[in-house]
Amino acid sequence: MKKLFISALTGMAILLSASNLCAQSSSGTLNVNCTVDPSISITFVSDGGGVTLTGSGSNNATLAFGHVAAFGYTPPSTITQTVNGSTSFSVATPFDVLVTEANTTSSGYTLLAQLQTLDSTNNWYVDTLPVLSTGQTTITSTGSYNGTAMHNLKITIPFSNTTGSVSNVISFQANAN
Amino acid sequence: MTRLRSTATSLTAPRIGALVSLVFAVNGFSQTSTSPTGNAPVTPVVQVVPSPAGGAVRTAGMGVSSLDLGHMSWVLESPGFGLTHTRDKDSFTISTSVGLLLDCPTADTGRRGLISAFLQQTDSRYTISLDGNALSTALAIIGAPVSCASTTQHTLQVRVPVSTPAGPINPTIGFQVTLQ
Repeated sequence: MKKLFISALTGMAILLSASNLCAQSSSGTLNVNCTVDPSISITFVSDGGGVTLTGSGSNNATLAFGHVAAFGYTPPSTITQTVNGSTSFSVATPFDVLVTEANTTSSGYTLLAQLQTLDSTNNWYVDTLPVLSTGQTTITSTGSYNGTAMHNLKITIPFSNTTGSVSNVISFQANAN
Repeated sequence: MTRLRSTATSLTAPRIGALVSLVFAVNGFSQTSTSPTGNAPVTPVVQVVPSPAGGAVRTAGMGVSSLDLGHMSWVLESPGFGLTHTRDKDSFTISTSVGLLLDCPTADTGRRGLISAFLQQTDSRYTISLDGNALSTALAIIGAPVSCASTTQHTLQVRVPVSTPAGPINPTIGFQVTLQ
């Protein structure tokens, strides 16, 4: 009996010892599938020498000239005011456009602008180019990515305009070249 | 790179596993099989399974799963269900939750395993991270040991630099489990 008992204990000891060594290993896999699409984005940024944009850094910004006038008006340093003879005056200010590209082979972009609502009274310009509601105006076809580009917004207001408020929306579109 | 480790003691392991199973049965413990295939595997397997709030993980076989993230880009306003999109000026990242199920043979019920992950191939076009740790072709331990038949939740991230050319990317993540 004593001999059998010792034998049983020895067997258990071997079994327990083996359990410490019984590391098993195996595997599994996860295949991840996705497609990276090229993209560009456009944002408006306040220019250091221009009117501060509300919503600077976004793709939906507001540029407020405030109160302007042909005469008796001293513009702030961010606004350039010009009286055009005896017919109209203009106010202008710079603003920046940042077009960022990602995962593209495009070397540059074309920037287009269009007035959202017809304005038959005042004239709107970006970089001296007239911006109309009837079609897109090409502002530049050689835009460079990933750096702010300064543009100039000018509104020419005839002396005959007595409505007081001048407001509109300019839609900009950047196309990868 | 060694992906399969020696199982020199495999003859002993099933016997111990059977013994443990028997003790659980005597105590009235019952375990529901969570194997996605309905059958217990022959060897321990890490099965990637869908997370309730995660992306579309599909099981393609024992230990083989796929995750379809669809089309993604730096400018992405509405990623698919279970996906999160973040970006900075240099890259964008798609994140999702996945479950890791440690599926064990019946004989290994009650044991615990240490899960490691690795990339089957390196590719400078992207970075794959699991729980914030970037994966490489070297084994990286994922968390603490887990029990057989348990599922743990993890965050998988794919980071794509803006300099990466557009096109498909198809990384494969390998998992390895070592039972303790």
